[in-house]
Amino acid sequence: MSETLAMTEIQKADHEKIEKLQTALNNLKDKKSKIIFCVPENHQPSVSVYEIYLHATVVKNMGFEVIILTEKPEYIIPYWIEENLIDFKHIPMSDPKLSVSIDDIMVIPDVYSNIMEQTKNLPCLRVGFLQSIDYMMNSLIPGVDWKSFGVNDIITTSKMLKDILNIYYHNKFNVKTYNIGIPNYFSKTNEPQKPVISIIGRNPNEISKLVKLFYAKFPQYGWVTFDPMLTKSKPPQTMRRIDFAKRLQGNFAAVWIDRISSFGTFPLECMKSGVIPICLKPDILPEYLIERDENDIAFKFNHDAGVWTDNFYDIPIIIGDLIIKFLDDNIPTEMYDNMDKIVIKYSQEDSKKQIEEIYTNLINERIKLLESAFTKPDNSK
Amino acid sequence: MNNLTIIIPIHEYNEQIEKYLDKAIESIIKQKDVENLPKIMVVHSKSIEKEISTFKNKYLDRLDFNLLINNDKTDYQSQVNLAVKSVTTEYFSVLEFDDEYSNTFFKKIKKYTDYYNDIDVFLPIIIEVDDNNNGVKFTNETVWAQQFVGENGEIGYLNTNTLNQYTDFKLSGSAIKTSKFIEIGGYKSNIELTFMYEFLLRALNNGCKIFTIPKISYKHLTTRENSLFNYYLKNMNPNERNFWFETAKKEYSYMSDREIDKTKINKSIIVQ
Repeated sequence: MSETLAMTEIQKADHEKIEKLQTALNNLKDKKSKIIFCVPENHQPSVSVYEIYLHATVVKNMGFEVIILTEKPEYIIPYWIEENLIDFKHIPMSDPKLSVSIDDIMVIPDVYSNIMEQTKNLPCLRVGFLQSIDYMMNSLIPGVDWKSFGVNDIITTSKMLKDILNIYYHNKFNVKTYNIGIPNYFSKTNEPQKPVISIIGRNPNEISKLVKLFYAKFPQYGWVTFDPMLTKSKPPQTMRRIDFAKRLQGNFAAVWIDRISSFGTFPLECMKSGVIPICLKPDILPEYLIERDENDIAFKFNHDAGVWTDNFYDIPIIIGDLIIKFLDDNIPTEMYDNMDKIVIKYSQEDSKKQIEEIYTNLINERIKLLESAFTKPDNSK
Repeated sequence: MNNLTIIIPIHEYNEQIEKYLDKAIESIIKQKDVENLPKIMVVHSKSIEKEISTFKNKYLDRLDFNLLINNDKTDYQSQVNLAVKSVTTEYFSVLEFDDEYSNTFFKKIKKYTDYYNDIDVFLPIIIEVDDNNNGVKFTNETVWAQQFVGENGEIGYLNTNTLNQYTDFKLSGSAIKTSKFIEIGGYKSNIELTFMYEFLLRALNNGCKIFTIPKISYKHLTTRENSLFNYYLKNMNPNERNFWFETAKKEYSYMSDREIDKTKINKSIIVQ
């Protein structure tokens, strides 16, 4: 009698499980699942946060419910991103009403490496969004990686990053890459460019040192301005990206120093705006400087798209050389041509298509996995 | 280049001047990326008519070369004012006979006048050179520094604040709107040394927009013996120079070229 009762209970539980799976499967197929994007409190570098909102927008346009998950309730929605990209429900992690189920997907950016462990018991699919290997590594203890927290899928922005992951983590992740796209409001202007140099870098002390070295070497160019690309308010703030693009196009050159960058969006924004980027090569060479053959093997480096150097102390001299060329109207047109050739591959339209493809694949893989649960032999018997 | 006339004022003539003049004219002929060269107007005194006519013949086949005889005062300001009255183009530019344009000068002028059609005076960045063609300094470039134009000033544009603290601006090689130059009264021949400074102050006072093209467009020989500014440098003591700067600051609010009481030189001016 008790055996029969136990069997009934097991059958009931199995039935419930199957029903839950079926509902989850239907939700995914009917686009009723939630796709949750975690956003960091710190909005630097701003482009990294922009990309999260862009992913969210693409997924929303695919028909899914999108939630932006914030660390704190008082999270400030970034004003510098276009309004149509920030129109989401923002819910703090502490919200007790928030629940996730097996058909939901949570996208966790690299900067949240430290809290990834806390999400490991969640039933949803968790996907790492990797834009910076440094942010990923920062809070991991040696011998631990995202796989330890049950994260198998990673979306990243460059083949270089994918190669590094595969080499160091022995191909253990399912890595999907796409090209970051540069919005069309980054464009060339008919307005003659000014003798002003935009300057962007992760380390303010390094930027300050560079500017001082430049003025020391070239006192005759004391009237050339460096533009930190912030608002003119007090205190200066991050500019809206559309205003940033407008300001950038008016300057003739731009310095970029970011050793730990894993992609390098700013030089691409410069190229699209007809502004010559003067860059310190980061530890990971930007993907767009590399030409690959049909087997994906790098065979050429496009160092002529702007000016790229390995040596920080070359940069003030390079700036001086470029200024004299600008003043003499003598910047080679080939340099602009090379920049055009590269940046044409990084349109936002293509980027959105690639992002959509990635999420479609992730969802299809999830559907397959759930479907396979119906057909798996029951080992418990 | 149909919207520009080049004015070259000459008040004396000799072999040395001819050599300089050849170089100046060559700098016009060597222009890159322009469909046609602008009209050239050489304004000169009656006394050198024969020599200038002979000189003109060298370039007749290559340039639209016009001569204008000045029977009146032959100081720099009067020569330019006289020539401007005969200009029929929207802009004019004064090329001093010992100076040169950069080889993309006209291309730049076209680009900037097409884009900024509300600007009245386009100053070039001038590279000042010595006799050996070595660069000594830039001129007109300071408006591109925010600290010079002030917190409320716009970089690239000259304003009165900048002019009050920094007086070293030159109009040689500038593209100036002909109608505006005439409207505000042209150069004042009664003002020595600081007549360009006074003109700039007056132009700003009359709402003119003055902008420096951020390109090295004009080469000025700064050390030529007997040049006008070399003469001032050698023959004017600091008191007198100061007098002319103070005069410019007083006179710019008047449109007319008023008589200047020079008896006050060395009397009322205190050297700081």
